[in-house]
Amino acid sequence: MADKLPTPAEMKIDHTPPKTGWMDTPFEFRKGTWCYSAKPKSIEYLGFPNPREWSPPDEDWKLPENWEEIIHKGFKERLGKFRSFKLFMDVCVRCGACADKCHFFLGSGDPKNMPVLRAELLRSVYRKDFTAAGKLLGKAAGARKLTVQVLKEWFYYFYQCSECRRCSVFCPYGIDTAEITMMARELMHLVGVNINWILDPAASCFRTGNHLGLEPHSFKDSIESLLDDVEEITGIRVAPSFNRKGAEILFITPSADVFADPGIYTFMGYLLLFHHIGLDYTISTYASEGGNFGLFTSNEMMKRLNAKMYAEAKRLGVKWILGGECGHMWRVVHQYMDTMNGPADFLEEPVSPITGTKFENAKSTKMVHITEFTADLIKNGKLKLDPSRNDHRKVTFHDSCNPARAMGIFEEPRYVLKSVCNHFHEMPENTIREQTFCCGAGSGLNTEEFMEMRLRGGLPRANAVKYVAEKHGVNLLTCICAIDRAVLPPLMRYWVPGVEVSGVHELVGNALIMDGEKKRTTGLREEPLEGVEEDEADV
Amino acid sequence: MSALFIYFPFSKLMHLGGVFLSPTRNLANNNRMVRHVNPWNYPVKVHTYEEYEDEFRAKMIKAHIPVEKE
Repeated sequence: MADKLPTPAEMKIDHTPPKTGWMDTPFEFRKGTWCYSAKPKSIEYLGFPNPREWSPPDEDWKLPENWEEIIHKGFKERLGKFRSFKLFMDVCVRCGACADKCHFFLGSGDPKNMPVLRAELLRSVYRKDFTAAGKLLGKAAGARKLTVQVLKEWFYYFYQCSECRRCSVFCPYGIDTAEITMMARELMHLVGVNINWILDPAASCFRTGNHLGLEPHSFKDSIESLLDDVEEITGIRVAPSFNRKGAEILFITPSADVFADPGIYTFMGYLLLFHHIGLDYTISTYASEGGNFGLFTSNEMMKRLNAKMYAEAKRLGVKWILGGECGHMWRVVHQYMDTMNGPADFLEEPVSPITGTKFENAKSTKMVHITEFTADLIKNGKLKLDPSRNDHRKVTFHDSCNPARAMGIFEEPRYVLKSVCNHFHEMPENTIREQTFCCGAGSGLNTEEFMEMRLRGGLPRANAVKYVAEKHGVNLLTCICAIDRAVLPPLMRYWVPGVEVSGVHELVGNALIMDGEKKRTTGLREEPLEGVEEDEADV
Repeated sequence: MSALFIYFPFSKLMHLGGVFLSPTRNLANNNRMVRHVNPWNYPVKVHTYEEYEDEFRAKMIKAHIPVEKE
């Protein structure tokens, strides 16, 4: 796959609209722009309908005989349940404010990637089936019948939306295209149209608690192998506990931090931080995943996976939950967890055991974001820090879509970063905070076969990084999302070579002055520190 | 003119209020502070800890991970 990718110079982007109307403009399943279909094994394990072998470019998708009826019923049911969905189907005036805000449109030039038109793919069927004007006037009222070709178009374009919600920031009505995409994906699941990169992790997570399907002993082993690295670099042996009853805090982070580079360095940062402050915490192998690929599947699947967090917190008898650096995990935790699986009346209102700060913002959900927790520690002077240990890094911060737009976490990570490093530079204003650009592969699209589209979708973000790299010599892109940590490195290698990617807590771990530590000569990824002589580093 | 007057009440102009009344624009960002109740929140099939431990108990014991039933 990778060897067939066009080079950055060959990656042509043409924004000229086609001459034909959108309903008459066909699309094709071009390699690199669609994801593989879900394997029957995952679909069966989760109890979803219509498990079978099929592939998106196939002529025959092996749909159930009455598939139109199934989708019609599903549509009707969702319009009744989700008032926002009904509103978003009706209220759009097609003003076009969202059109040039989508990174997939900017990077591909395909008009059907304009959020307004992507939603119109669904809205046209809504008009035909559920509005009087659409039923009477048909195409003149923007309505069309649901056909296999329309379903294929849904699949193609709703799996080219990363649910980042940048468009909704600019929509005068605040139409949330992510919710429209969620609904479209839910409808497609009803007839067994789905992608493997989402259903396989969801099935693994359901069974083992984490996306990769690490069984409890392997999960523990993975973390313990990091302890050796931490000891080698800092001279400190940290000792996390697993499934320990009676701990004060349950710590949950995306499992990618446990095994995937560069997330593992962020995880080392967490371990050092908790050791530094003597936190009474435990890690669960059952609730070993922060991420929730159910969010990209259906509201029901999201609830099924998310239920493990509260169930495990209750079983272990902890006081509250601390959550690591993750993007969509926090959309679920912040916006849905309490509603779906609460009330968490068996937990206590979170209070930092070190500073005594009450996290009133989380008093109902009882789950605190790690950057809120760390920022509070720094603000109260509880951490011994040496920011000069990050002097080899010129840092910028990528606001991950979900913590930024779904939670409003803007200041905490920046406060932490500015406290642990000396060189911090912001990217241009219209590419950060609530206007941040997506990494190009959120919402379960971070798969290899989708690489061309990922690189196209990530172009606006990469451009902003390139700007600060050229202007300030930025060489490290930090973020608080595990999917970002997985997809930004190839994006940077492609568009902005020389820029590495890390989590915020990797830099915290570098800067922490631990009691009894040995002289630090390298950072957590064993890169030499600035100002440390080579012969010193070899000692 | 008359035709326009007839058309306006059915047109997208009537959506103007939505600019000021949109729920996504006007709801407080307090989801972790206050519990919002969903009227149709129905129970779903979950993978319980008991089922999980039953499947992995031997491996957990070998790895010195605490279990409920020895």
